[in-house]
Amino acid sequence: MTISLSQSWDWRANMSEVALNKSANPNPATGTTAPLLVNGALYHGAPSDPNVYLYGGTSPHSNISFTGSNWPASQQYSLWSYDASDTRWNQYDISDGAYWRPSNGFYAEAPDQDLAFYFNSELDSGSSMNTIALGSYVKPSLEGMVVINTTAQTATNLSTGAVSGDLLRTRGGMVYIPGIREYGILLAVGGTYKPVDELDSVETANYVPMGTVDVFDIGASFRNDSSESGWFKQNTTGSVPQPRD
Amino acid sequence: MSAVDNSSHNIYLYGGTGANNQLFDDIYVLSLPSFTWTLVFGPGQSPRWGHTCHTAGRQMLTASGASTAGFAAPPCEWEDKGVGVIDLSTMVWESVYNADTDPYTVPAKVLSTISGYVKPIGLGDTC
Repeated sequence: MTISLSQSWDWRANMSEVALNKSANPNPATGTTAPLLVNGALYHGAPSDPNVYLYGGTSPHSNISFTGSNWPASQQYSLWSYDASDTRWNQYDISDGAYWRPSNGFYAEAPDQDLAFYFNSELDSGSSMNTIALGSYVKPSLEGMVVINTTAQTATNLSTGAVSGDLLRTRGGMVYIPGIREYGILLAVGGTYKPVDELDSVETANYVPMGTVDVFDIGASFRNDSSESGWFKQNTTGSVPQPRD
Repeated sequence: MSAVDNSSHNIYLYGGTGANNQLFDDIYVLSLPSFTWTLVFGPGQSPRWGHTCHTAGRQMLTASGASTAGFAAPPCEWEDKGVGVIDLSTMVWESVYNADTDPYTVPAKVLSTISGYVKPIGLGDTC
């Protein structure tokens, strides 16, 4: 679904939503299109890159007869690109970054550096054909933060032990702020936490207090290939919101 | 969103769900470098969770999400096109996306919190 941002519109009167046929142009090498996925990340990519990128996500399949629904797909190709100009899909194996297809993690991107980030996550029965047995349970997964170079379609996994330890986070917010320090910072805010690999239902989540946020200095660790984690905790003040996801 | 002079960077947090299925209709700004939270909208009566937020010019576009917990049918869904638009400077919801907005200015409530402008003290003030 696309909505033009180059012309003004009024959603009460004249907003034009254009639906693109997602199955029109499969990956020419494999004949496949991206599976139906929710709770993944959609990245813009570098300004000169015509593709957008879909990473992670999970396939709802409780009613497989529902239009467009599909059984969970192999986790091998967790990164897809879609070129809106020629409506063509492509797929990438970046399992060096994370073995499983993550969902409900925090995500942000630094398009000026060709970088996309995916922080912690969980698995459920729709994550892969190999996780269907999870049934109605979710399992915190992905210890670390996947850093994807969208232009090279490569990924690496950085430790987030300094932030979340064995209590993995999901469903929070992450933003990129350029212009602070050499390569900008990421800010992780809110969300929930649960022990890694603990099988549980969604309703028992613990909420991350908003009085502290976590800051990742992209230059301190990743860009300078340093052994520093790059993460530090920052207290906040003022009218602190109630915890939420 | 960054102040025109880069003196602050402002991160907007809209709605969500909390403990006991509580749903929120509020917008907070977290301002850097002071890391100060300011409530800039609400709390109102039309909560939203599971949506995504996107900036365009000085407006924020919200996409999709739900106004009730779980899969309950909403009693009254004001976003009947699945899109919301709010001006991040005036904090007024509107239905018009403007492709050519005025430059971003930091909301007045945030300025008063982070002292973007402080009225001088003792210069003729009588109260």
